[in-house]
Amino acid sequence: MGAFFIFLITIILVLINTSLIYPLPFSDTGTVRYRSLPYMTFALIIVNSLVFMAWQAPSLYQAERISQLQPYIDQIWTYGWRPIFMTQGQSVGAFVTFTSIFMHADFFHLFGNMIYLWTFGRRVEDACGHWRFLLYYLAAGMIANIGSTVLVATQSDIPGIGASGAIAGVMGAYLVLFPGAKVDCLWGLGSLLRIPYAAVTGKKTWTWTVKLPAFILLIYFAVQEFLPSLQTIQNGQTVGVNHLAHVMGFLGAIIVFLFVRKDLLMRYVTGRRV
Amino acid sequence: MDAQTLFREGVQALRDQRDAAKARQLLTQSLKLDPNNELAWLWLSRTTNDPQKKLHCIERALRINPNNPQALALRDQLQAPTLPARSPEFEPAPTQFVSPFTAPFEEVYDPPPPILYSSSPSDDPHSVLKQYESKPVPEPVEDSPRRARVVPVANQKEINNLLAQADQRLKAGDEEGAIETWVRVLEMQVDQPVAIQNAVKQLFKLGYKDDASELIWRAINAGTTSIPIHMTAIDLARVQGEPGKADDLREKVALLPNADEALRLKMVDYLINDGQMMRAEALLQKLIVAHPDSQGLLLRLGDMETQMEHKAQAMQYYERAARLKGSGGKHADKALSNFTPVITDRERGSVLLAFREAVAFGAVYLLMGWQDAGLNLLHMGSQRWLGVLLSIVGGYLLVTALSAPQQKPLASWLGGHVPETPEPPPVLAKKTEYEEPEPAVSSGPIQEPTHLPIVPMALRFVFAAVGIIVLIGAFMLVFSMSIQLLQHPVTPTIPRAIDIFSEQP
Repeated sequence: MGAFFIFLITIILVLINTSLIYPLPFSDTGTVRYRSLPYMTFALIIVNSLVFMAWQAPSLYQAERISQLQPYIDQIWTYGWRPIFMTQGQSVGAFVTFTSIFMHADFFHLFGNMIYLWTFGRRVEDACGHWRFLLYYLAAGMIANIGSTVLVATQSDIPGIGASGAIAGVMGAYLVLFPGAKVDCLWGLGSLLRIPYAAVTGKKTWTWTVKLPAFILLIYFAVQEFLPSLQTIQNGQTVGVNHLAHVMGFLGAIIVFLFVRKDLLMRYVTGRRV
Repeated sequence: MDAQTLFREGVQALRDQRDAAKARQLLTQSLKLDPNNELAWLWLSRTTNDPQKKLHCIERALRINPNNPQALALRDQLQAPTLPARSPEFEPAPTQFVSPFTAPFEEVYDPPPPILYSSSPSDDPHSVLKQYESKPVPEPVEDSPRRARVVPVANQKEINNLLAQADQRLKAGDEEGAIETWVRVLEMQVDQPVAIQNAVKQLFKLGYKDDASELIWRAINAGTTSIPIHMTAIDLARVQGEPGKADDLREKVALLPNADEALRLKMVDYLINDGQMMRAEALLQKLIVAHPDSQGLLLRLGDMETQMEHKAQAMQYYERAARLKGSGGKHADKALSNFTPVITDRERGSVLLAFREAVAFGAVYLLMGWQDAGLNLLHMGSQRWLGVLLSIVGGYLLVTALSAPQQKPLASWLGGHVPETPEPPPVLAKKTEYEEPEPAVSSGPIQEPTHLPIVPMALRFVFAAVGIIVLIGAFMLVFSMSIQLLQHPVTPTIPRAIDIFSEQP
């Protein structure tokens, strides 16, 4: 009970810390067109969570000494994305492109990614349909993996894991398809900044969440990721967060029109609203 | 407390405080102690709007005194109402309009209270209005809606005294005197609720509808924001055969600052049901400017635009409504799903659009082959390229079977038949209040009537099966090296955990 309480407090503190200065999107306010239950987004969240909770978490969180982390290291170094697996035919070869995008480093890595998938995935799934959305998600993940490898001349053999490349692709698709949508964000600074605006316009003075236009949020995300990516390309080193993979996944949105529903594509192309 | 005190307090609660529930409680207690108080039974009849209950109370009074003229009159009126029928738009008033008129329109047109009066109604009530008429009615000013209600404390005392006097006069049967006193009150406060209600009621009872109307209009012209007064004026206008005036008043009521959303919608609905769509639309637009966060108004305008086939505008209002908090968001979403995604024959029958989906399969397979070939496109080899090509073929078969079975030339060539005309999207019915709409189309774009042939079902099954087999084969080609590794994994070099963590600062 005590551990659960500490866990909850930690989550809240992390959320506060994450959303204090920068907005943390948690839901989109736009309406969907097809009223379809986004079960593929749910399924992806469940699979990601299960892979971590059932497979990775025990070896990570039950270790009492560093040496006991070896099973966890084995998992990541065997099934994470390492270009050497493809160039020299090791481990399970190119299958790691699928395994790596369902693995996460720790709980907060998973939690952060799933929030973004929840926020942006549902509406993109609605625009594509369930199975085409899954294909697009996997394609974006692959583009992120390949792009972050082929653009860096000298490779350091550090495994890449996480759904963030695929989710960045979903975010890119969201920007392309719904730039004017409003996204609900937790944003401490924003809540404070809107007080004078609300006072002048006569709106509710304090709100816990702030609605931001999707294009502002997503372009900001892209710019924020782009600068460190340049550094990665220049230095040929990827340590910590793989920003280049995020950028490449995001750019994967250029192929989203192969996956969206045909009527939506035609509306988009012709500019008609209905 | 004795029966008489309870009775007195019950009458006061109803007459002065307009508190029907309290009055009912006190009068019931009084009648338990003294069931032979005929006046208590008559007052009790005033605490309910249920005609059956009213009649029951009156019958009890008549059992005590079969000759009670008020009870007889009330019974006659209940059994054969002669006063103008209330319009349906006022039916749910008790829950929406609170004091000063607890049940405003019923009060105005209901049978008079059980007050003993004996004077003849043939006396000219104009005489009591003369002094009032001689004085100019104040012109409405900018802040008049509030000004009409502001009464100094000293005047308030005088008003209370006059109201008590009027009550006594009425009890004494001096109806003219009572009307005169109420009119004096209305000189001080033009929309004083008790005075205007009683005066109008008495004037109406005596058959002087014009005078009753005049009192109402004086209050309205003075800028009262009293909704019951406006609604009474609407009833009067209807009764007097002035529908235009009634509509103007409805518009005015909808724009009153103290009107709630339900009332605004009722006023709009009246215009819609009256066929005045343009006027209703203009009113709704005005109201939405004033109340941009009113979900009900946005939904109603969305419904109207839908009926007028202004889909783009309707969508805009539904989207605004969907973004607001409230139970109507669901309705907005459903409405959007009802008509927004329309798939045309051109899109449905396009081979190019279907092929585009097949290319998506090709793209995914290309990415897989690229990785399998050691992240070098030049090393893909003919086997993997063949796999990519086959993935497009397999994808196309699958797409044709599942999501694009109406590609025009293909379906015709394969001997497809034209499906029966799909049902058009449901028309959103006019509603007097927000209600859950009929179940909407569950998912997928609206199927507009189509004249395109569709690939026969049996062939579609074959296409799907062959497509899946081809895709599996293509997968084996593009992932050939990785499939071999899956069968015979090569253990990679893995550093020791202790080395990794000791390297970190």
